[in-house]
This record gives sequence, C-alpha cells and structure tokens, in this order.
Amino acid sequence: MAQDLTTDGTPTVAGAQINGNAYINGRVRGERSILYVTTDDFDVSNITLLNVNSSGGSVNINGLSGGYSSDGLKQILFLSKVSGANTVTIVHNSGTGTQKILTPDGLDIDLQTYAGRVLLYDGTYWRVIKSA
Amino acid sequence: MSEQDLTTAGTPEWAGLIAGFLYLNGILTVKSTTVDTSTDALDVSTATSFEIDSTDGDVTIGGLANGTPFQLVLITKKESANNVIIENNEATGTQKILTPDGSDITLSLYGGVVLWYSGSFWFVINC
Repeated sequence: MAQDLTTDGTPTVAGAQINGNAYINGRVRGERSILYVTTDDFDVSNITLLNVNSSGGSVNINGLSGGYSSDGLKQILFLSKVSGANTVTIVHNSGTGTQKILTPDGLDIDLQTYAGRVLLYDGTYWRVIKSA
Repeated sequence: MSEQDLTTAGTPEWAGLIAGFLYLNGILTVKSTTVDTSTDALDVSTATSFEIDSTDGDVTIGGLANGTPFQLVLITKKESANNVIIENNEATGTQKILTPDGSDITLSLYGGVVLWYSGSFWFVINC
C-alpha cells in the first residue's frame, strides 16, 4: 500500500531503501571510521567516510573488507587523509588485500598533505574514481 | 503539521524522500547501471553510478541527459580494455560536460569521474 509520510521530525530507521529519487535539502553525513595503520582488510561495512590519520607514520591501504554490492546497489566510500604528515598509499591490486583496490592507471596512489579519493565497490574490487 | 519521529528497526521503502538532513549511520549505496556504447545523451534520470564496459571498443561520453540541478553522478571505467573518453563541451552533447582543464579526459585502464550538474553544464570533480 502506498503511503506518504511527512514529518518535521527526525525519523530513525535501520535502513532506508529509496526506489526513486532522494532530494536532500540539507547536509548528507555518513558514519566515519579512522584508520591509523597499514591494513589489508579495514572494515568499511558501516561507514561512508574513511579518515586516514598518518601522523604516526605512513599508511598503506592494501585492501578493505565489508564492502557492499547487491542488486545494482554499490557502496561509495569517501577516503580522506586527515594528517599532513607522512604518506597514505592506496595500493593497486595488492596480493594481500581482502577486497582489493584497482587504481585508474594500475599504479599505487600516494596521497600527500590532505588529499582524498572516492571509491566504488563493484562486488569484487574497490574502484578508485579519479579522472587522471 | 505536527512533529513526528519515526523509529523502526525495519527497512522502509519510499518512492522518494525529501529530508532536511540525512544522517547515515551506515553505508551509502547508489543505483548503478552498465553502459557499453558511446552516447551524447547518457540518461542519468534513473541511476547515480554508471559503469562503462569498454570491452568491445572505445566508449565516448559526449554528454548526459535528464540531469537535474545539483545532481551528482559517478562514471567508472569497468574494464581495462580500450578507452573511455569524457568529452569536454562536446557540440552534440545534450547536457554538455566541462572538464577541469578544458580537454577531453581519457580513461585508459580504470578510474572514473565524479560530476555535478549546475543546470547548464556537468562539471567534473577531479578527485
């Protein structure tokens, strides 16, 4: 049965599947995790924003885990380096990564200063979205 | 209209959602569609992510169609073979694309672009 729900409140739902368009007249905020050390399988199953804090040393991201892809719905992850120190390296197709990452040119990506990337999980690989 | 809170452990489905704020305590997923042919009018009315399958040859995106202002779209090269070309300000593009340096973008292996629509042009966010 079709239902309209209009509220000035803040609905809290475990999950929302929107079969049409979502118009957000404000901010979109996703859950965040912070990564401090090199990883093969950092769990991103419940996050949209991944902050990488390399203040304690360089961090290699060889792979992730928990990425979601089903029925044409694919997880997007915003990765942001939040420390100006050291280097965060996104490793291309690492042999040790659980959910491996494919970079645009097949080379590892070194993020300096406060750079970031957007990634899309296709069910097999995380794809780094970058034009050049 | 009275203020209401809706709290549920379930997964409601809506045809659309208008919200002042959207707090995601989980992941963000978007509808994704595969495209394998060149086009000047890639219809972006029904999906947010477009995976380009260039297995059979180069695929050129000269423009999009049916975008609405401030819409976000992701275009990703799905296969390593051939090229995906994002054309800058292509004359025949329906909703034309403007790239950061005014040159066409060639994705030769993987990678992709994030675009947003101003109402007049699609702008590439060079992540």
